[in-house]
Amino acid sequence: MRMVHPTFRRLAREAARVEVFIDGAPYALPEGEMLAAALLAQGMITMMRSPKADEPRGPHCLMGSCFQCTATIDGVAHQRTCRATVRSGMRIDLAR
Amino acid sequence: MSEDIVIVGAGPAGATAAIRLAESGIGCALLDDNAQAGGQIYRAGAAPKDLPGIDPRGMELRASLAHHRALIDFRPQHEVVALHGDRRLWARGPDGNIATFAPRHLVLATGAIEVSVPVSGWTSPGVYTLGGLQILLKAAGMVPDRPAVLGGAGPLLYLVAAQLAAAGVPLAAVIDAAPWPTLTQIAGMARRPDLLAQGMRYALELKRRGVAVLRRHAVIAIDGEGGGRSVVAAPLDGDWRPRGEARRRIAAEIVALGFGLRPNTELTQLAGCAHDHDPRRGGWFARRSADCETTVPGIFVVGDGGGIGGAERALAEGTIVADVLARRTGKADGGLAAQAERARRALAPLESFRAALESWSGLRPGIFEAAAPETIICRCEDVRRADVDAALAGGLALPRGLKLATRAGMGLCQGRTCAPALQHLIAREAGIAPSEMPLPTVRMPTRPVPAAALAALSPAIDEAAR
Repeated sequence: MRMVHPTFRRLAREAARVEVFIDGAPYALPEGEMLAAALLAQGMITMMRSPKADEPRGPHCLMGSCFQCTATIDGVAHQRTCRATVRSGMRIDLAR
Repeated sequence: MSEDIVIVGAGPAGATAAIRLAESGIGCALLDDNAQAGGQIYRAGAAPKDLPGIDPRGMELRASLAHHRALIDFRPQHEVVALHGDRRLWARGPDGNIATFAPRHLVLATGAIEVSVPVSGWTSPGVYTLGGLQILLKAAGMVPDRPAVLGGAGPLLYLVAAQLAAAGVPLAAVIDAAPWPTLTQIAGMARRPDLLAQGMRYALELKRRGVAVLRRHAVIAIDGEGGGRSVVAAPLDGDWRPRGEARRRIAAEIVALGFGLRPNTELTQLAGCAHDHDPRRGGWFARRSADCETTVPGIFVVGDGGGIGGAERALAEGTIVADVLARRTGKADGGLAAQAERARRALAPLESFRAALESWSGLRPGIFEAAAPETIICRCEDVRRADVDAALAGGLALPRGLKLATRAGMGLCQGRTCAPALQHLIAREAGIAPSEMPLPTVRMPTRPVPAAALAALSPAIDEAAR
């Protein structure tokens, strides 16, 4: 996987990490954290591609309104990562 | 499920209403799409308490809701996906299942949506709304670790900038479309000296930390990505139209833009409530009586959904509507009535404060001219300014015709993000005021629901289609 330097840093102590699978690869993310935030903290700022122009898109409003942060979560497509929280064993497929 | 009172939205307005009712011994169901109560303004999580503008009243509201859990049936992570004028509503819960309610009294406290102005590059990952960047701070305790530019107008710009500056974020610039407030505007804001002082503290925080504030300017393009990203800032005329000369380029890896708030009218539109338009209240909002009741009997609106009024007015209206409901349900309470009377007296100074704030920073329509022909307006369907202009030139003046021709506003977000820009472009082409435009249509379900949940929702959709 392409490593991107994280563009965010944490001010607060994070929760204990649990294992999730992003595009099939194991990652340790803070349990209960907003999934979009956890992905951004990993340097993953692109979550999907736009339908016609095929441009990269990522979290924008982070309040469930804009639908630019969607991913396939546990097999269900078009789930907003800003509405989901990190759970142990979660499978996240990004269409990057 | 039948509850006497259902409240949608657990921000300052909705949560206050639920708590005041419970204090008078009256129960309700309180639905919110977030995992915790507080709304966007009091959003819970991980923000350090010593940052500017982190309000302890959010924690107090959450503690009070928990204290009254015997009377307040709090349903977090419930999104309302359908509603009828007879107050039957359908909410999608965290398990994906649909819960139905048919309350005698329905209080809608669904708050506001940030107004976005499309500019080239605003669709690129790493570009956020101001509220979005602040949610990362509040909910996850995360701040940019790279140079950032914040732009737009209004109090949220200064609040987020002050918070990030205090957290040590390198702010390359704060770009404000508004000029300095005039003395008249400051005098109006001084009707609430505490709120005026709050705003001045944010501005002072930026000055103290040496953050460059560019006034009467706006970000009109975002180029490049990652460490090579930069923004173009242009000076604005009095209508906020970008001017050609004296543009400057500022390097920034993270960009956040927001041009104020507009009322979230999705549910009041579905319920068939009448709406009024006032640019000083953020555009379209639900029409209400002094008792916060909409034109549909039994449906009440409190907080920003009734016209942008801020958290202080939301708190006051939560108390006012609780008193109204206590009387309507035959459980009038002298203590609550006295609290509501005090809350009503707080409204006039808040109104003056808000009018002055809007006069200073309220969005001027020229800013929408920042979109170039190739700029994407509708992010969901990749519709560009040139597509919209071409469709309008072909005589499609109504939003519906434009949508069918271009698919603008027909994506997953249902036009929530691009509505202000589309409305402006249509009104300008048609030569009418935005208030003469029809409200953008809202369709059920308001959020995508899984196929399994559709069965529970189908009666609502069928009726709406009839």
